[in-house]
Amino acid sequence: MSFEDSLRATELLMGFAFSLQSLEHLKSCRNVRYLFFPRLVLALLLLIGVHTPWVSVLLLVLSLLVLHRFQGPYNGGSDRMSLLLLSCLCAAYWAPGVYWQQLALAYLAVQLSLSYFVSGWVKVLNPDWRSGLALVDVFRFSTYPVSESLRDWSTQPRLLWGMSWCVMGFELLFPLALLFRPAMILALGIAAVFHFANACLFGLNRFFWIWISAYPSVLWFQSYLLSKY
Amino acid sequence: MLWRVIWNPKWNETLFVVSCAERLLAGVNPAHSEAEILYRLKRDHTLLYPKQQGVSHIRFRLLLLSRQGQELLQEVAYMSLPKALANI
Repeated sequence: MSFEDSLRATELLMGFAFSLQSLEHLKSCRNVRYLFFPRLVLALLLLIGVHTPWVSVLLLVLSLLVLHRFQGPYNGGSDRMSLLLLSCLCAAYWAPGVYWQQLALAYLAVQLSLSYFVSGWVKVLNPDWRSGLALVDVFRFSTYPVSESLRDWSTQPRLLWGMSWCVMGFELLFPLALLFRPAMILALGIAAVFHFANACLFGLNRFFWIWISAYPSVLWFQSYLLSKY
Repeated sequence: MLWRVIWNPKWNETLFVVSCAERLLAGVNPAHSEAEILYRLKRDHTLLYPKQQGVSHIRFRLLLLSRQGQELLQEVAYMSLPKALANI
């Protein structure tokens, strides 16, 4: 994947993710319309591909205002990933010279890889994750309506122990996928299915859309690495 | 279930309210977090009981569940002061 193709794919995915987020806010809360109506318009411009360098800067400024409005992230990690994506996109447009522009996108790719690795590392240090108890509690206490129908899974400790180690193993091994193209395609496919399952089972839909928005950067970064070394 | 992968505003707002509760307990700008929770409680109460008369104030409490071995413990970690609906 070329640098330009990766940037455009990121814009399209981010534009779609930000449009959904903005529409959700416009639907649920009247007192934030002054922030999310402009954000929706800018997200649509990002999708269309009009003046994307300026649009990304305006989206970044607006994201900081949203951060101030809610006195922190509205949806934790997904908002942090949105800010990271926007910052890297802005740097990729406005940095002086190809070297710095590529470095911005490479930084995003490394952060994406680390997001999985660090998440796996934190889990593997936690005895409740190693024993499977953490996932038992997730299925036992989640109040999300879909999870309530899966409450019986909490009575299957062996199954959840296996699932816990699958998740931790995958997250810890993710950076190794940078070494081989087929491994990366497979790893991103598995990661996307993982986020999709979290969206279906636990309602974390924003994580799904914003995390896959960063996938083009890692595909370009791997092509770049493999062509150089 | 699949539609909620695209559209899930109510649940995302619930996650924000949980964040507000965590910030409230951590003492990070507690006035803002309490105001955000009360605003949503008032809005949802009005939507659920549009014709209910006589409710002038609301308050909320934060209940924490924790595990000690195989035993689950409940603790009321925070109780807000009654707030007049007209002032929210």
